[in-house]
Amino acid sequence: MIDIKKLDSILPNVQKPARYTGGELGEIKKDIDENTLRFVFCFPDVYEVGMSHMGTSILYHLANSLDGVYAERCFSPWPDMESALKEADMPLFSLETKTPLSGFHIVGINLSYEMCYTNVLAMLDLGRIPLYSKDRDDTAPVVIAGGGCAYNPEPLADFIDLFVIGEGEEVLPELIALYKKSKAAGRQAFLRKAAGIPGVYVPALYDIVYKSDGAIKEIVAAEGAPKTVQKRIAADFDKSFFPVSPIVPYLAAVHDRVTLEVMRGCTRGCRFCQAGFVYRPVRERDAERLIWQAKESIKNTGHEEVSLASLSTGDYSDIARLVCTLSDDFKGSGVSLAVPSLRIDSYEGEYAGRLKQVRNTGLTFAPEAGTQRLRDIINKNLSDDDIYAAVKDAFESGTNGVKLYFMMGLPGETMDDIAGIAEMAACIRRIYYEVPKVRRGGGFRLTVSVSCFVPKPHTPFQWEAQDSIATLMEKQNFLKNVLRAVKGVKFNWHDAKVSRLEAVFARGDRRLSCVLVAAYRLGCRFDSWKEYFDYEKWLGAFAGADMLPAFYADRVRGKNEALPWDMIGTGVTKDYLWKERTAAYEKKTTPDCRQGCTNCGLKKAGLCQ
Amino acid sequence: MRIGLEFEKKDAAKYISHLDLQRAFSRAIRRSGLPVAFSAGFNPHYRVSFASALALGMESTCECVEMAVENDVSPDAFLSAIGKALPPGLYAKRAVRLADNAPKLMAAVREAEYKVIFEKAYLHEIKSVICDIIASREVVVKKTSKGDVKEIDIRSMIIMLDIINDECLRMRLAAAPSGSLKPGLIVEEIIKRTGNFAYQTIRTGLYAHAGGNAIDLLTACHE
Ligand code: SF4
Repeated sequence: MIDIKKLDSILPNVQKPARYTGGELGEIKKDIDENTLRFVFCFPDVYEVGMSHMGTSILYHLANSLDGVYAERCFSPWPDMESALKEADMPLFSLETKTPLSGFHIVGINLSYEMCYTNVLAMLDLGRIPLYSKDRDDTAPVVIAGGGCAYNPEPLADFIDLFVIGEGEEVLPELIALYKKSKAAGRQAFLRKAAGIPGVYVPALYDIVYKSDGAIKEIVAAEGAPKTVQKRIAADFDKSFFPVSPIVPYLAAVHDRVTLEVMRGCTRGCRFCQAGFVYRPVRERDAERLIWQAKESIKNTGHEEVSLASLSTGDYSDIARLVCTLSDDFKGSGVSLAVPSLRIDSYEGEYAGRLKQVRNTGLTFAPEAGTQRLRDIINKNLSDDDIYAAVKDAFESGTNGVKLYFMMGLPGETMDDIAGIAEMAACIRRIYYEVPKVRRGGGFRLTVSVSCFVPKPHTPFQWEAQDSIATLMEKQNFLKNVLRAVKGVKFNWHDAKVSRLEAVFARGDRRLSCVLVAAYRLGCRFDSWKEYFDYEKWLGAFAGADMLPAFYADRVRGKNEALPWDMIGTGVTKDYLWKERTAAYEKKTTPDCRQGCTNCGLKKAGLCQ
Repeated sequence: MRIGLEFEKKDAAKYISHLDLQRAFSRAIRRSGLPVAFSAGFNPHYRVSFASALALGMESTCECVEMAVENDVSPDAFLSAIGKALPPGLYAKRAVRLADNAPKLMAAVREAEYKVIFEKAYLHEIKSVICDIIASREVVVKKTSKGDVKEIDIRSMIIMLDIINDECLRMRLAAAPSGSLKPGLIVEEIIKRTGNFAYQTIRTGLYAHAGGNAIDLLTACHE
């Protein structure tokens, strides 16, 4: 344990000390003895962000439901706390028992976005764990990682002992059991055995051979390690573990509410969307179970809001009943229900009228592209008419605010597509003013948010080049200008420089590890936070490591080029992804596979029924 | 009907900010199932109001909050239900029914008492500084609020200042809506004259005025 007195003396001098105290309602407390397996979940971002992450919450409570296991939490210290820790010569510690990270058996890191990688290194370093996997001996914790970014684990391959690919509900208990059994044999023996668990990738067991042009020649798996590590999915999502007594933070978390997971996966097949391909197949949780979980969670936490989370909650087959039942149940209790934008027209009968009364959280759409042509290329199945009809409906029932999300830099995009975004905004404004004054809400507000396209592994666009920073900025400026003509529009856009780094690390290989260490040493932290992102430092890190971002971001990769993440299998075949890419170039759409299997490969892999 | 509740704020809970404390109470109320009234409006929230904000990081044995309740609940039943529902670090101590004609706690509070535990080695210096302060008619210190530096006389807002058991300072300070003094300002003034020592402040009492006397806040507003 760290020196609590010392901690108490530094906490009054940092922002939001409650980030580091733990002790909240719902925190798990356990007695520890020499047989306790000690696990710590590390979320490489600040407390308020990490505490909003549903996956971490599920696994924390799941691991603690196992006998002889105590799982704790740790979040990235904010820069003021990092300095305070260093000044006090104190290691980074867990919230529950204030144990330094180096004192755990297993350190589990969540990887939700690429721009958290320097925070990962900072956590290890501050936790006094050697940064490089090869430098850890039997006294050091085993460092494992999972989450969305683990589908291309390579940029972190030198730092992480093993990755869990896919959903952790079964793999985690299996890993813990194996650890307990083989601990005595030492970490190398454990890691070799762990590689035999389906869904576990041990990067040290893979050798990457490069060609003279820098591309990968081949990936060689050591004996006993699978050539392809197939992702795992929960055996039965409907009945899988879900915590109904989650921790209630003292500080307002980013998502400060009860979040229910109504579905996993999405089969709409948007071609840019990694989540859509890697989280297949679609599985739903039973409505009765969700209703019970909602009530129980509210009873245990006292939260004032319930939200229904998934990649596309509107597609949940029992959505109307779920929403209506929950809103009836919570009537008069001060608990509100956050419902995503639903396409009201698709509901008939009993619930249709009542749904209109529930929906009030403002309207959000993600057309992603400004023209039908480009939406066909990216397979975004949302037509202008759909949007305009829903918007009209909403304005007529008193909504005055609409949010639209787009991407720029998509494959096949032209300036006409960018102009199309402004045209859509103008059209929505017209629709608002066509609604009689007495019916519409006061003050038209439209938010247009535009992010930059980042080609992601395991998608049909995984071979694409990203637009250069200059091109992206030109498109942003163009849009800014044309949008000026539409009154009442707020325009938000993403920093193209951040997106470029995302593109590098999303499709990077393990040679990037030296860039990450250099960036970390130069002081890069919290790169997803505007106030801390420092592109100059990053450029310095690339230069210092003699690496080129362009090699990863700007290059169209060949059909037969070995990709850094080829050893990771999502169930969707590379052939299918290439076919989808070809379809994109031919502007052909592919329907949602719930209307008929499109043979993505999951069935063959035994992952889809 | 209004219920006044006294509670302790300790351990990790001392780092709950005033805003977060309101949220913590709302959640505790919902968990407890107590019939606390909602405010009117589009986003209804529980009608809860605190007597006096406490500085972040300070512990207290005497925080007071009032809540409007819809049905008749006995103070005992209220105390036990809210006591079970409050998060770790917030401990319910006492609940009373507030008189209908009593002002809001926030408006009734006049004085606050604090205990300051300090390093033993400084006892003599602190003692003599205290004597000086008490003997002065005016003690002017600089106070920064929102970037502005103001000079204020803290002496007039000190009601009592002494040392108990040679162990800790006890101070009773003005804490009225019209003017209140933060204990830190006095400690800083002492430190200025003695040299730096480590200390810890705990709030130990809130008082109202009645008939020229200071009386415990909840007792004063009790039905
Ligand atoms: S196997 Fe067929 S049904 Fe299953 S996710 Fe793939 S395309 Fe959809």
